[in-house]
Amino acid sequence: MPEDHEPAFDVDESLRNDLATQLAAVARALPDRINADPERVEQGLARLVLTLIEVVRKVLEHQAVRRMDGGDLSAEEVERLGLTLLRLDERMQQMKGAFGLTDEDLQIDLGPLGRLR
Amino acid sequence: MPGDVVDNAPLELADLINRVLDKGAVIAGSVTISVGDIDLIQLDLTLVLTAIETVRTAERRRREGGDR
Amino acid sequence: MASYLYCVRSDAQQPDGVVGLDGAPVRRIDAGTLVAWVGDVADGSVDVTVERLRAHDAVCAAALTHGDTPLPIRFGQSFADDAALVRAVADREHALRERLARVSGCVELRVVVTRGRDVDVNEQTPAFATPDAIGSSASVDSADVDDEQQAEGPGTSFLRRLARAGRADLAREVACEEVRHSVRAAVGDLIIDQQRCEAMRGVAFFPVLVRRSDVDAFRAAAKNILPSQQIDLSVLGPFAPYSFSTDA
Repeated sequence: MPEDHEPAFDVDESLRNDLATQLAAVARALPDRINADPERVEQGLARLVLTLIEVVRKVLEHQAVRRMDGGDLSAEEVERLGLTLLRLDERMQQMKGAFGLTDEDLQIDLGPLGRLR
Repeated sequence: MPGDVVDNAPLELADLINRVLDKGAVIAGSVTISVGDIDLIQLDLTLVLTAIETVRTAERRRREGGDR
Repeated sequence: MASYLYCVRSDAQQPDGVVGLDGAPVRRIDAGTLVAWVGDVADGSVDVTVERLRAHDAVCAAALTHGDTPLPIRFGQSFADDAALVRAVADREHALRERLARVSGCVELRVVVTRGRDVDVNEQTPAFATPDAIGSSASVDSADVDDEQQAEGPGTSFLRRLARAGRADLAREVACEEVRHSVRAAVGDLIIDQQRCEAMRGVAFFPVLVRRSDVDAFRAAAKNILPSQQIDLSVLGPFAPYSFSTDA
């Protein structure tokens, strides 16, 4: 049993883990060049924007759980926070659908079964 | 045999994903955003990624000290 | 048509007969003082499929079998063309050389902990409830049923399920860390480098970097800690050093 049981998982480190993973997913999802010409809307730009939103959203979820676990939120605050994030999750699914982008195209958080083609 | 994982398939697949998708060097991560032929933004995500990884490593090494 | 990057190496090993994503042959190109194994892919954004992940891994595994240890590149790194790929690699040549030097002569083994002391580390059911699946009515979360859930709203329920998924991983990591300390105590002299435990996608593991010649000795020693410690673990690999390729 390790003697020095300081908090083994510093939240900041796991946040950085999240950020690193999500950013690599952004890198993976990007083409070399994106033309933002409104005459020809490219999926590339939508992909970039949506992927960056997903990075922030995942971090928000993580922080929300941390606040809830920290015990300094009232029941109403927890509900309001959770509802906002739930709606954000649903909205992101709609956005991805509208641009024809799947989770696999953007942020990769694949369960080992059933989510890979 | 004790210690062998009986049903290896989900384990092996999860490990494949954890390894190949989330580890390994990141080189591509620079995107140029242009309007028409005019380059306006160069976004280099690998700089941010490298910075995060470096901080994580520094923290890990500090935490573990010389006891590796 | 785009150029897809599999691995970077310091020697001139040829990828003879090696095939990569979507059946495209792997070829070797010079990138500064380094060598890149690359292939052609249809376009710049590579969708993730099981087949492609396996194909990428197979190329890095082939690269590992001959010559010095290659640096595996993360899945999905593609470029407009070979020239763009070479530029990107050359831009990072110094850091890549450093990493190659660090892993030279070594391979990665991954110790997967399936049971720690009194803990089923990889209990499957809650593990696969990824956050994105939580919002759907089909998500299964049988591990603990909270009586208070009846009274809580959908927002609270959502956050609680996120929390449970996170806590399950945390518990797995803690149990795995205990195993890592035991392994280190038993066979630390064979370990060139290691990372702390991670629990991802329902699997708790830690990677170690060992010399090629020490792989069998490491495996044997890791298995030997089992009877005394009530631990189940598997040693996967050897792999190209994915876990030791990410930071400078």
